[in-house]
Amino acid sequence: MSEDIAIRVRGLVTRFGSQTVHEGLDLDVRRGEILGVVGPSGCGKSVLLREITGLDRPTEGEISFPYYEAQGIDPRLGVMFQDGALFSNLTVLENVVAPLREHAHKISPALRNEIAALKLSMAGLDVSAHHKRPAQISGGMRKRAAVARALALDPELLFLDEPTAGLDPISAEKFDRMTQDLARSLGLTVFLVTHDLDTLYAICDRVAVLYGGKVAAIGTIPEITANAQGWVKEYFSGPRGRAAHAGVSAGG
Amino acid sequence: MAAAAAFDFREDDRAPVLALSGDWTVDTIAGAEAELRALTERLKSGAVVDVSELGRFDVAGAYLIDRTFRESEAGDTARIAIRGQHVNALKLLETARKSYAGELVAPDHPEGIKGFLEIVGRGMAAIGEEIIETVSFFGETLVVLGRQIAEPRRIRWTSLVHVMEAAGLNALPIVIMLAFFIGLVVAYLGARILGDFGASVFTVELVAFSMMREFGVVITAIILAGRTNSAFTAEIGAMKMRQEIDAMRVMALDPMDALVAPRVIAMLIMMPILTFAATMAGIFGGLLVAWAELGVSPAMFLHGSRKWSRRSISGSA
Repeated sequence: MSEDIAIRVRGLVTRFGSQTVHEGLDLDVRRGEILGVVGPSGCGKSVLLREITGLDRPTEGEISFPYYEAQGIDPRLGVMFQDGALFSNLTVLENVVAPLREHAHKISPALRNEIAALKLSMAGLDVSAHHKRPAQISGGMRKRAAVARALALDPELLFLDEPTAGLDPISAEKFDRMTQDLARSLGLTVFLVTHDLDTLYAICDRVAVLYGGKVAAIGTIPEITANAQGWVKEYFSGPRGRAAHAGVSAGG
Repeated sequence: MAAAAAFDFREDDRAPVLALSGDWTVDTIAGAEAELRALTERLKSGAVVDVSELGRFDVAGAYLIDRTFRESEAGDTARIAIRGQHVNALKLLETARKSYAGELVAPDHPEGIKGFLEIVGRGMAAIGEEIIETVSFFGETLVVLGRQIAEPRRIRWTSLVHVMEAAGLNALPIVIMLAFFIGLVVAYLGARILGDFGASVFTVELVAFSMMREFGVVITAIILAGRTNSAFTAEIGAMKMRQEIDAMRVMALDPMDALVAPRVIAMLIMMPILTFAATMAGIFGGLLVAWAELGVSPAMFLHGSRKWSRRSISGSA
């Protein structure tokens, strides 16, 4: 069903000088799913994210949003960068208000603040964090604040770059849970770049493995592991992959 | 396309009905905010939200509806009853209700005369700290330089030469250009104003004197402070942020030795060279104007300015 494809990437080629990152990459992200993107370091996961969000231009190829284009609208994108990329001279609340003030300036300041507070609370930050500066809160809280800011304008597509990197396992699990809750309750399409196998097993509907400049495998984890070869096999059946899998089987 | 948020409130039958229509998204709810406020008092518990005519709906819209109910007589225990079918209205209203974090607290900014005094006090204390930090940094730099003179093998020659190129040689074009134009302008103004007294021939002296005594040095200093030293700040600041400085400390490398000293020495070496270049460029600018405007030949100009340069150096002027 082509009308249910939120993001379509066709024939993507990315070159930096003589180095080729993507070599004819095709990818479909379905509407409403959480797609995990994995791959070895330097395989172009983050570059793909930057190209889909329009920050970088691919050398060749086409990126489109068929579901939204069919309705004649531009999808709104929310991006959470790896370290949050919060504006360091604004407080946490002001960070979330900033996009609202720019793009929804007709809304009264009081309601804007309340909407921002609601987004922060959805991301798991309470009132006590509102007036702190990004430097005064922990890395996990920064990531939550960054998600709240990404959600400020109610985007249809949410991009997360390494959301659980640098978090302790308990925070990481809570963060995964939050991502899943948000995606389900808001009907978001989530494009999630990660190295965290636990995240993949816990919340991703499908997983795309980038290898050698292409999507080497895409599907649910059982589908991928069923006929995995080479790097993909190594990735999912290495000691860490097995541990994550065992964790899911034991925990349900 | 996006239709403005609209609603219709009916109290005719048993329960009041709030019928939503149009889109209720962050882009469209602005207009409905005030009207909904006014409605708050008329909402009773048991009110029903009719979403059958509702277009697009998002968290901001859901929050506004939820707030209206929460602030109504029914209070925040009021369950919002939904009538009609909608893709995500029920889910979003539930999310908005569940995630409501309570009243916002205002940031505790200092206010009034006391707040003003507090800001002034903090400012003064910051200036005091800044002075102490600057003086101690300067002292540390002198100590490091002294140590490097005593022990020349501590000097980072590669780094020194690199900074001399990046900060000194690469600043040459802009220093020369600026000094050239200033020499041009000084000569032009001198020719005009001294001409009123019939003394336009002294333009040569004016240019040589002002370039050698003042402008050559000042222009170079401004360029180095503005261009080169802000580049140093950015460079070292970025290194600090990426923890490169911490990495040096852990390896027992003194950042003062490795980063600060080469830059200071490079500047000490390059400053006179750049000043000389600036002075020459300024005099050349003046020479061109004197030649074109006053017909003073380059040879005469140089002769005049040489006399001045000698007196300028000996300080007898």
